[in-house]
Amino acid sequence: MYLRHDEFTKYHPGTNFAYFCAVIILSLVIFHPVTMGISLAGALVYAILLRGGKSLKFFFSMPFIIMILTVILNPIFVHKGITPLFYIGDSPVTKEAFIYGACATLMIGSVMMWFYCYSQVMTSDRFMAVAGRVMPKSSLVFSMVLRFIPRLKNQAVKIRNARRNAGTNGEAVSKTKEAAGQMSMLTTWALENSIETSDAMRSRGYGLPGRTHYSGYKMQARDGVFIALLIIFAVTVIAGKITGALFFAAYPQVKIGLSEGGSGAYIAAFALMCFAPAVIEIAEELRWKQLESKI
Amino acid sequence: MDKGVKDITKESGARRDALLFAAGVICSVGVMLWAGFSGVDRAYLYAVILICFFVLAPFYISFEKGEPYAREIVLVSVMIALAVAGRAAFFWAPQFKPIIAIVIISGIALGARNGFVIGSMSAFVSNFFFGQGPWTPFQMVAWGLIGFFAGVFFSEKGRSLLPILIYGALSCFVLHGAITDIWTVLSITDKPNLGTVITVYSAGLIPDLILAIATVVFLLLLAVPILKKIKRVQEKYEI
Amino acid sequence: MEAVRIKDLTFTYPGADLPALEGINLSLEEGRILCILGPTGCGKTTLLKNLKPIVRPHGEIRGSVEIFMGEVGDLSQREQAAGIGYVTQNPENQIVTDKVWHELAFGLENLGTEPETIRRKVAEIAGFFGIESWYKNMTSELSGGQKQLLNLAAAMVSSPRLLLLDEPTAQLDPVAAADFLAAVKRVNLELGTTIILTEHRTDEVVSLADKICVMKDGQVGAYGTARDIARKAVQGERLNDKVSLLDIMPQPLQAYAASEDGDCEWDLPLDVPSGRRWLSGIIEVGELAEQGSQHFPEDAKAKEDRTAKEHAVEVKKVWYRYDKNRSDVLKGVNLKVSKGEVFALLGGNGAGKTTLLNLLCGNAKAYRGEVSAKGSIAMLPQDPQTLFLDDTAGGEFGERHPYDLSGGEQQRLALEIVFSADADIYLLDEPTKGLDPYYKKKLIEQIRKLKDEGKTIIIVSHDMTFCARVADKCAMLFRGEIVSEEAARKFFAENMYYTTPVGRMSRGLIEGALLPEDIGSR
Repeated sequence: MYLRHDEFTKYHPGTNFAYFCAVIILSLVIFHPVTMGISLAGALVYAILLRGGKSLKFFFSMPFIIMILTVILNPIFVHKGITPLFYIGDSPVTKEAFIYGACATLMIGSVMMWFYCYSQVMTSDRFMAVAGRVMPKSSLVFSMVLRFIPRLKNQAVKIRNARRNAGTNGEAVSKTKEAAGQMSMLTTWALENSIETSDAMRSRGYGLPGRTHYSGYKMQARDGVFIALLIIFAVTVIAGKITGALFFAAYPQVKIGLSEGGSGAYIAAFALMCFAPAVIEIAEELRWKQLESKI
Repeated sequence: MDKGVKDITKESGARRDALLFAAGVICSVGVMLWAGFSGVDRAYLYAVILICFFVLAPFYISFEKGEPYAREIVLVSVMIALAVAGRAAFFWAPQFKPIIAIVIISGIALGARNGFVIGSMSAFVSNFFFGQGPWTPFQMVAWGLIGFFAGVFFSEKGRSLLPILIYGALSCFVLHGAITDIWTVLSITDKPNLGTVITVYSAGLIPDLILAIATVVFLLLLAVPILKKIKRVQEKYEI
Repeated sequence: MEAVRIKDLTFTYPGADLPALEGINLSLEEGRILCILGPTGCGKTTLLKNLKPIVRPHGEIRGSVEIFMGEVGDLSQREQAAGIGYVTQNPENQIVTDKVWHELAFGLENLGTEPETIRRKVAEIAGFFGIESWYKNMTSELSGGQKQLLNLAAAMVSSPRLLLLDEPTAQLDPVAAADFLAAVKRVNLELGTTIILTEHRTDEVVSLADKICVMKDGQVGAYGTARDIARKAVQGERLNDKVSLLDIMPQPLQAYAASEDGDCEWDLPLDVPSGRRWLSGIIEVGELAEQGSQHFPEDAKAKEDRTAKEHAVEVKKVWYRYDKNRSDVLKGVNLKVSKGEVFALLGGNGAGKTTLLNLLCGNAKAYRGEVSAKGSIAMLPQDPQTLFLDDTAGGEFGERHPYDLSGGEQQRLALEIVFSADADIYLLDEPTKGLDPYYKKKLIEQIRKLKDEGKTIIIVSHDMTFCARVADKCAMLFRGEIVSEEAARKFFAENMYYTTPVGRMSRGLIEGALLPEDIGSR
């Protein structure tokens, strides 16, 4: 499979991780129709940048269905709000509940799509580069698990093949029993061979105090710049939430923005955050164009 | 003289672990109270996310701070890999997986704390293949707790398989079903709502039922032999 | 300075009546390569493990082991981990992490090395062993040879002064084994690392080692240079009631001992070149012409038989690939094996040998062509562990757990399981893996017995001497095609490179000689 690597993925995994944490947490906390819309748009644009049409296929296969469900379910089950649109039986379906549902749906969609982008960018060894620092033991387990899984799959096939020709064909063994037998063989194989792995680890000094962590990734200057900007934008957005500029409430009556000064600057900061990978990609593209034209 | 993996777990830093778990429980209760009384919009959603963190943290801190024994870490990795490979490789129906059964067996054989780590890591790692999402932390907590309680309730010396089978079946609904979907329930509406709870959970009922049947079947077939195998390997490590 | 000095070392496993090692005395200078030889169960591995206490099994130890003038028991775990490299037989089980680069860094991480230093050392070691091109790969994607090379590199990354290798090439094919041993030689030559290795296959190793130690029953049977050992072997020294020293010596020496012709005490033939020196000295010029095809009389008869016999296995123009988008593994293979024939399939790695076996027994389906087999099939897979269903071995191993057996014993158990299946056709993938000379002989007898019962046997093997001994007919597979197919002796006699050591040694001197006994009966 050809994986396209966008420019932001080439940043340090720590930068990537911080970015996804920030957008996902802010998308959850800043419950505001405009920012939710921006967040979903940003996530979709980045997903397309990463995986093209495949990401849209994913979007319509799951997040979209949950989003539709949310839009429908919230007004059906929640009868708060003062503006009834119509009645189902005795229960009013209100405009407010509908708007709340629409907002929630944007949040769910955006969070799911950000997770999708996260999965594409934070591949196992990039994740380990981040986690290894904080959780060295768990991240080693993670690496060892990823080592074992292909071995297990491989061995499972070998066992299946071997069993087929081990002279047991004549015996009538039930399918489930044979499957469990093979699972049991696989378990024995994995457990018994793990003893040698554990010996190899101790032989190479595992268990000594003061273990360090090596990831192969290096922080660059641009990672510093990016994280600094990320903090500035995030603080701005949180300030907007605290001052009430990004206030939104659906019940009992829809209410947006409490502060005098309007919410434009805060929304712009959030938008810049959500579209940062796209901005980086375009900037890089332009730089290359420029370089090529000079040659 | 070296000790078995379970003994290591039991001994090292039992006090620290107790404090950690106490802190986790207190924080979780505090957050729950805040959600109940503050009246903040979607407080329950934020609360469960925080609680997720408060449940995961003590276990992982305890695991990280525990003595780094190669044989412990290898056994933990092997069991996670078996669980994940089981989720990826098997069988006749999409939900018919041995994964919960393996998590339960691991908890019984390797202790409650390692059971939690194996369960939660199985969820996390397998989502690298099935896709990470907002459900990942919840699934980690759910499967982690399945492994944890298996380690608390049962020991490998236990004679009867029946209680383990019952636990296996129940955990598929109570722990797996309920916890994994909680984020969906709480994101749809601003306050927990009976209607959405019933709708979302009833949608998960059939898959959970298949999973429960699979868990019982695999526990029936695998629990005794695998426990025996792990025991043998633990004894062999000590030679 | 002495790198290793072992004095009166006796080691007894818990609960064992007899010691596994008894009164071992051994010393080795720094920068030397010592090769420990001996039949299965002679204590080679136990001796090696006693040089690195972290991996030493529990047991009672008497005597002393000094490494670089320090008692090995006094070395801290850190000193042992950094200063003594240890590589064992199974390439898979020693790899801990999922990425090549991480595997190289793993040991240094454990030692608490600073990330910046790790970066430099890992780069250096990858360069030294030529790992750059697969540095970023998953460890699961590597070939067996690459995996073992990675294990060697990972052991060398902390620049140990002493390197212990426990049958490092046992699981590798001949080409990968030669590459691995060349890397070992380079480590010694360029870094001056003292190396101790145990080996099964001696043809390549004897010329590599400075000193050789032959063990028998937990004791040092002989110690000295290759020539010293060779002299003892020719004199008929035995290692136990089953194996003589000569059995584990390179084939040119076996040929020399069998012929008792010519005197070359000063230059005993230990490899192909010295073998040729010896042979060309004893052969009269006129003798060459007489040779001709005297070694193929049975082949003409065999050919007659074959036309009369029915086919047990027939492969017609078979094409195979793993999936649609990958290239063909087998390209129009034609193969006929008669009933009651022993057929050997040879070829390099990735030639499609194992794939062809899988097609024969129905584990894979050809996308074009036809495969037919008359009768039931039993197959010995490459990995004996895939056959162990029960927790007790049974047979000659009684109540023991299959995984408590050594590699060679596991192979014997697997053979026992397969031969007990009472099939019409037996497919054997690398049947001699891990077997010592005695059990190889027994396997040959067993195969001949099955053949006499009218069973058909198809062997895939890298062991050319074994194939030359047991097979009626051989075929060579190259990149998915059968490039030659002939009666066994003719096949090997006509091959230039792909033939037995004795065949290579006697080419142009004695036509058609393939085995040590051929030279003897000349």
